[in-house]
Amino acid sequence: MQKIDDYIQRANHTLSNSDIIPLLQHIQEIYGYLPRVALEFVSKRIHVPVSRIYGVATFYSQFSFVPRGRYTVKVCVGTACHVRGADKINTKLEEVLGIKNGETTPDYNFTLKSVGCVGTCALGPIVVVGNSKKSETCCGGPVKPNRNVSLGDKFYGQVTPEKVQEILEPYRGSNNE
Amino acid sequence: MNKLRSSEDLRNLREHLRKNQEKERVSIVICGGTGCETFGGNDIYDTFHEILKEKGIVDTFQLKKTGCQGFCERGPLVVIQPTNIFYQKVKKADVQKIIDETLINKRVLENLLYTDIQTRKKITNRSEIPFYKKQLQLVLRYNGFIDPTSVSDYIAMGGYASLEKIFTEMGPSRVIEEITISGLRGRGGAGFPTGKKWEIVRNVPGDLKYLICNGDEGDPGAFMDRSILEGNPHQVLEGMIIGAYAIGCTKGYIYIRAEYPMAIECVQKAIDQTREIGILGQNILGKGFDFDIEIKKGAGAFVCGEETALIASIEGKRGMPRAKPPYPATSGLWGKPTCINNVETLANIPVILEKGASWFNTIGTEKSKGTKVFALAGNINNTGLVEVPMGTTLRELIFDIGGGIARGKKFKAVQTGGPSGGCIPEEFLDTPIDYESLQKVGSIMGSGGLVVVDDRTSMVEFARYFVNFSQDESCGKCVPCRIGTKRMLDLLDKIVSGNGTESDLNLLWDLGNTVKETSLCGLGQSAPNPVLSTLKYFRNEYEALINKSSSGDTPKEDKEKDAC
Repeated sequence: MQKIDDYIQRANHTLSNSDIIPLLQHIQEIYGYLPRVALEFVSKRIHVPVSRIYGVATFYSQFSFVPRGRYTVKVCVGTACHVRGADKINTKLEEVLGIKNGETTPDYNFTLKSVGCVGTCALGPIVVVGNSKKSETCCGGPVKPNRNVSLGDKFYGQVTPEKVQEILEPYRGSNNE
Repeated sequence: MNKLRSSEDLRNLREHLRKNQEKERVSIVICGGTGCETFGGNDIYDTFHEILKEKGIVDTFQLKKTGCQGFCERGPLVVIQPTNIFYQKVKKADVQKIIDETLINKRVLENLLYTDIQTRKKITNRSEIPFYKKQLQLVLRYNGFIDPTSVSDYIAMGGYASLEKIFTEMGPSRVIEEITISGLRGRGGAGFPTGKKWEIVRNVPGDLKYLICNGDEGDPGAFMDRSILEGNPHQVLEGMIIGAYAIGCTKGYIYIRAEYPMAIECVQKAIDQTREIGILGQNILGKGFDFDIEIKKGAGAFVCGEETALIASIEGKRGMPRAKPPYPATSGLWGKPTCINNVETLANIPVILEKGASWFNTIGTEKSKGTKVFALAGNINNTGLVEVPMGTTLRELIFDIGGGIARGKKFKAVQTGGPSGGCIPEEFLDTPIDYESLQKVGSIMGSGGLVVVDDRTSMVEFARYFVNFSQDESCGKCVPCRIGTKRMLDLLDKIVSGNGTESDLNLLWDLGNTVKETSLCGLGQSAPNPVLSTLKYFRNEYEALINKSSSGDTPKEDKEKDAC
């Protein structure tokens, strides 16, 4: 909560309704999802009913209310990727990860999610893999950084079902430690 | 850099930067667009830097990373300037060869050149490649030449000269007049005359007005705005400052999708730089005009591209549209007069003011002036970003610039305008691209996404895909869109799975037209377009599915992929 509080303190004006979305984005960057307690905390701090905050959060597809895996694997299902076979990539990812789209692996390493166009249509089908949260802490303790991969989203273009395994490999590192 | 306190300061800085450039060395330009980066463009840049440093010649050449150069299909791209040698699909291992052969020995590496699809000839010069040759780049004119993170690059190319001009030679009303004469229309898709919009906002009484740049490019298959924001953010900022000056507003927002982290970063950097040198903020160029810009990140909702929904989103509400009037021009953000322009529209402004409205007027068709940026995607040879004059035909765009259909397949349809547009069959390929002509054939200009499909694609399944998207993104506020799109999807599911009847087709047609006529906002009003256009032009495919079911064939298994 300290981090959220710092963020609120740092804003050079009194936070109000219009700051809800940036605040939620900040919370999701910290936790990788929106924990209920964080929303209640924010509600008290900026004097906006939690029902309103919840209403805003549920509207936008960016926000998640359940913990996500360390890495989010996004399959683009935009038109261009669709006509180039994004559904085959999704099926393969589901098979390799052993989860359905929208779910998280039991070890909380991967969350599989389909997303609308990521704007790299020329290179479809696209898979984007990125850290679900920015800070490398989880459940109160620091997580060992995975040196194989950089922070931030990495784009993979012209993906074929055969390439799926190879794409996921570098992100598996932290599991075996 | 020092703060610029007058137009003269800006001119002096430009002179100074240009003088430095004259001495300029050979430059190695590496495309840093997301497309090329996906193929490892970053690695190529680092390798160049490493080897040049090793050889101790890092200062002999200028190494530059630019925004998207358009030809994403062929990435990573490396261009050697000023000779304009165009290398494509460059690998890390090629870097050493480029340095030894091309930079030092001045020899062209044949194997990295582009091969013309038709003539099978190798082409050395970038501007000779058919993909670039037929384009007219106004909005994208500096993409591929400047480093988007450097305001100096933009100024040296002549950037912010239009801003200087409006302060010294024109007043707000002259600016609006000029834009009106130019005939520029909104590039977000609807095509409202920009000059007129500015005039309305200017004339609404009130001292607090807002200008919003709409960068919520949610159409799947569209990446024009993203490439502009990533490749040349200053041109958009300049357009915004000019717009703000013309309509008399002091605060602006750029609304960018959260899915575009690189664009957000680039624009933020550009804002910081312009603030630092006094082109943005208080007392711009010492002219007593204040204007500042803030970025608002979207949170993943397609409907937020609609102006009233976008305003609701900035206000921190659920991004739902509301009935118009009142239009945002009179009552927009926090109830104040608000002008909303698309990224590409604003990027056109500095060009128009620099070259003059009468010059701009000569480009394009009678009612649609200037150029339009398109994102070519789908089953086409040359995917990427292109800019062509209005009036160019779809055939020229797809076959001459786009290089035709990939893998020797046959053209079936082109879909313009994303989920809001229609599918255009081969018989209309000679339609000139302008707002009215595209509407006539049942599609829309839209923001510029252009997805080509070949004969392997089922048009019924394709239409179902779009309705599924619109249904998913429907905000649920008005009934026709919320329930209508759902019922349309149910009908399409039924047809695709082989259980449809003839009367379902009629029902689908009626329902589509009802949703189109009665929905509250653009999303619902245009969501049926893919269905209506495919029903019109590809009815045989619907009928084939229906006949199949009535002749007693086993119904086709439907994939459950979109169940979520």
